[in-house]
This record gives sequence, C-alpha cells and structure tokens, in this order.
Amino acid sequence: MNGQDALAERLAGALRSRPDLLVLGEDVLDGGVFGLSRVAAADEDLRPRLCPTPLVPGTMAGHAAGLGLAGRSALIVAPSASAVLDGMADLLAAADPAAWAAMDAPAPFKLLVPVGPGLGTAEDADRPVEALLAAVPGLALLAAGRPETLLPAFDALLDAPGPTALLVPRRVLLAPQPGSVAALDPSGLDRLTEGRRGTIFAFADAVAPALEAGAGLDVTVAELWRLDPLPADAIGEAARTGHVVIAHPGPDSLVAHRIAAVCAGEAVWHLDGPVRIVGGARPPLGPAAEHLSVPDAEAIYAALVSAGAVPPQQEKDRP
Amino acid sequence: MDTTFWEPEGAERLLRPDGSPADGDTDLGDLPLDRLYRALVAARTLDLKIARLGLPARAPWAGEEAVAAAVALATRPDDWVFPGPRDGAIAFLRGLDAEAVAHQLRSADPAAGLPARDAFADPEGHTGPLPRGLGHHLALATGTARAQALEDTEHVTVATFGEGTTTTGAFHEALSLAAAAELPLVFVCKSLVWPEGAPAEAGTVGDPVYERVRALGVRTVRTDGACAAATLRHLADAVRRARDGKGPALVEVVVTPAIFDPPAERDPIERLRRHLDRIGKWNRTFQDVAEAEVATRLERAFRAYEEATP
Repeated sequence: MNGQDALAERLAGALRSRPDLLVLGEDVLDGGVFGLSRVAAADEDLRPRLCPTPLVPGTMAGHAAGLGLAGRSALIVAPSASAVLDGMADLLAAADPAAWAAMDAPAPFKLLVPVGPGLGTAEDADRPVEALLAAVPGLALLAAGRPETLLPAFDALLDAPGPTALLVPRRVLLAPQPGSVAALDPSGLDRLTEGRRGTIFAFADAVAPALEAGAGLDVTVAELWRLDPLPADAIGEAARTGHVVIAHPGPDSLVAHRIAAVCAGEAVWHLDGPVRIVGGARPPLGPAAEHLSVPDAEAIYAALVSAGAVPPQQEKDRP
Repeated sequence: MDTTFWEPEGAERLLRPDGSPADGDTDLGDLPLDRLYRALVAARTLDLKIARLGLPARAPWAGEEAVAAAVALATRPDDWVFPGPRDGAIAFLRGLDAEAVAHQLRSADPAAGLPARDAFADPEGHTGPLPRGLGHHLALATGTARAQALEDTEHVTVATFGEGTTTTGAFHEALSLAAAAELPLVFVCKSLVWPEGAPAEAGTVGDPVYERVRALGVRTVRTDGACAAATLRHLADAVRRARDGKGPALVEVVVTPAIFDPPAERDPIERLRRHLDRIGKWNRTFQDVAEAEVATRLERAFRAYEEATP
C-alpha cells in the first residue's frame, strides 16, 4: 500500500467519523485526480458528501469557507499547483482574518495540495506553491515530509481549527507506507536525529536527503511539519548547536527564509557560523527530473561544511 | 406617462410612474406594502445618516433601496444573505441592531473594532460581510447554499451584486456551480444600465444580464428597481422556488441611483408612496413616524457610541 492508498482509506474513514466533513475537488465522485476519494466514492453513504467542483477552481476556497460558515467542514483536494495559482485571489479573501473582521473569525476550510514536478498539466504545474501559500494571511500551512508522517499530518489538517493547507509531496504520496506511523510532535517540529555540531532544518520532501546528509555526523536533523505559523521556540532550541542548514524543496523558499530569521531572533548568541539555505533546481522540471526539485544529500552536506557543522578531519574522512 | 426615457426596457413592474397599477387587473393584495415602504424608508434614512459621517470608500445606495428591502422581506432569519458593496442596509433591515451598526461604522481602532468597509456583517443574523473584492462573496454564497441543499432544509441563500461583477470569473463559476448542483441560491444583480448605462467593459456589452444567464438554464427575470413592489414579488417568487428545491435563479433589478438626479418617479420610495397615497394608506404622519422611528434609533445608538468611546 502506498501513500495514495492509505490516504484514500483514511479519507473515507474521516468521512464516516465526521458527519460534517465534505470533500470538494475535480471529479471527486470518480475518485478525484489522485484517486484520494476513490474509497469514499465506492461507499453509497459517503457519495453525497463528495462534491465535484468546476475544473478551474478559482473560487473553491470561498465555496469551502461558505460551507464552513454554515457549520460544515470542507476539504478541498487541489488537483495541481496551477489550480492553487488560479485560486490565489479567492484563497486570500477566504483566509484573511482582516476580511472577516466583522464576523467572529474566518470560516474554517482545509486544503490538500499535492506538490512536486509532474502534477497537473499546465505550465505552472511544477511551480513550488509553498511560498505562495505561506504568504496567505490567516492560512496555516502544514507539510508531510515522510511516509511515516503522511497520515498523522492528514489528521492534523482535519483537526485544525481554522483555514489550513497541507502540502503532500508527490514522492511521499507514491512511496510505500511503513507498517507503523510516527507521532507528530505537537510543537510542529520533530527531531529525527540528535547531534551537537549542527542542525539541519528540513521540510516536505527535503527531509529524506537531509537525513541522508546527516547520517554518520554529529548533527540534529529536524523536520518541520508546521510551516506557518512556525514553531519559533522549538526552532530556537534546535538551532543552539551553533551551525544551521535549512533544506527546502524548490529553488526558493519563503519558509526557509523565515526559519533563518527565527534562528537569528531566537538563537543568535548561539550561532557560530552563517545560516546556510539550500534548495532544489529551478522549474520547469519534468517528471523524469523530479529528483532535482529538492537538494540532494551532497548539496546539503556541502552546506553543512560551509556552515561549520563538520569538523575538518571528519570532512576529510567522508567517503 | 406610461413610457419615458427613464423607464427601462424589458423590466417587470407592478406600478406605473404615477403609482397606479401597471394594468387594470394588477393584484397587489399579497404584498406587505406597508412593511415594504417602512423598509425602504429605513434604508434611505440609514444611507443619509452614514453620508453625514463622511466615511471613506463607501458606496451610497440612495435610489437602490428596493433590493435591500425586498431581500429583507423575502428571506427568513435562518436564510443566508451575502450583500454586495452597495447593499449594507440589508443587515440592518434583517435585524442587525443600531448599536452594532454604530459600532461597526465608527470603530476606527483596528485593535478594538472594524474598518468602515467591514460594517454591516451579522454572523448571528446570517448576513455575510460586504465583499472586499469583486464577486468574492458569491463563492461564500455557493458554500452556504451547498450546505443548505445537503441538509435538505427549506433554507436558501441570496447574494446581491452589481452588473460589473458579471465580468468576473467568480460570477461565472458561482453560477455554473449553482446550476450544476441545483443549489437553493438566488442571485440578485443590480444593473445601473439605465438611462446612460455603464461602459461595455463593465459588464453591459451584449444582451442584458438576465438574458445572458438564462442561456445557462437558470431561471431569470428582470424587474424595475423603481418599482419596489415588483422587485419584492419577483424576488419572493425566486426565493420560494429555491426553497421548494427547484434550483437557483437570477433576478436582475434595474436601479437608478439618486446621484444620477433622476425624476422623482425613478425613486422607489416615491413611486410606492404615490401608490399608497392613491389607496389612502399614506399621509404625512405615517411618513414622519416611519422616518423618526429609524432616525431616533440610529441617533441614540451613535450618540451612545460616541459617549462610550474616549
């Protein structure tokens, strides 16, 4: 069973246990673009809560927020990065607390965004959307970084009280699911390894190469599953090793720059070197070049060296 | 006096400009004309009150009150209404109290209150906030209408907007969604097309809105906003139809803002007043009471707010 299968099962289970939950998206009655609603679509009791939407979902967030106003909880399955781009104006209006100043609070809605090269058919399909979503005021942003945390991250999305988006990298979606799932640290940051010489902050599908880069080194590898708002205290604590590298998918990252700013604000007296940020290649990237969308382990290791996290002797000995 | 330069083409009306019934067998017996008139006066009084405050970025609605009054009378408290930028009076007419209106309008401190353009929202009264962007509220309206359809209740959603919004993708997406899912959603389009009209790029090119939308299979009607009675009847019909599970509708209301300086009969208040006068239901005292009732409530609320605010 891969992540897609597991998520389809989990979504059907969530629809059964949450009578207020609805799923919006292209062709959701036929399983949806990624087949995420196919288990639910096979259940006659759940089909009424699968709501197909127009193919160009410019106003899906507003539609979901309207459902939220009426006491429902709507999960949007975005078909591609280009669909998110199409709906940005509506997303800004639906999530912005200032736009809801006269109401009690923004109406809640959930957005599931599969990301990575090869998704969608438009030119922008492989454009990283993390920076755009992180810039939407009022929208909480989560990311599933590993197969082990895909389902817990999905649960966190459904449990979130306000407008929230979850980034699911295509590779995490397609990877085999492990026998057991990992629990997410409520802070939003999980320390996957512990070390004293340096810290790698990584998120989404940059987590796997970060773990590979840190293998055998005395460094902490920290996965951020909550990207906005960032867990500032946990980041500051983890940055106290003094040498920091931030690994992110895509060529540029608003979240990575925010993490660097948090390190400067929370741990500047502990830093012994420059904060290094390392990302992937610039689009367009076809499916065959998917691996280039995230920095490889060598690039992250080079950043660790540059940040001063690898002692010279150990650097020389690395195979 | 039947047809003048100022009378819009193809718009349904029940009252002629002089207030007489449009034709001999016009029956207005089912319409609460007294309540309708009071609602029109209340909306106008609120507009005048706000105009005196000199608030920035506010669109006046004098001359367009037929829509707000008809929406308020045609909907039930549990229905959802999403007013357009020139329909702030809807929340007030649906029950948002004068104190809340004063608070929302006068709160200048972002930490404590609201900027003026966010006024008139009433979550408890199921009246949504005024849209910040053209057509954004239509997406919200499709959402509440979807929830109402799923719950199999008799509740409906009404959204109002100007004809400029028909140029947006949000309008077409909302309309397509409402038609495809047969949502209990009534679109109310205020058209300023008469007598001079807006430029083509503002949504007036080609056929009128109600004819363009009819092509989608949505039931449509065009009414004269100077005839509040006709606006109420057709809007109430559309709401009733949606309530009965017969799907969405669009009511295009041709309005003439007072700032166009139109003749008196283009004013919905004046036209209905002429009718009430003809049938012996209007006099000066009735008018004074209708105006004073609302003006006093507003005055008290604004004064209390001023006194309570340092």
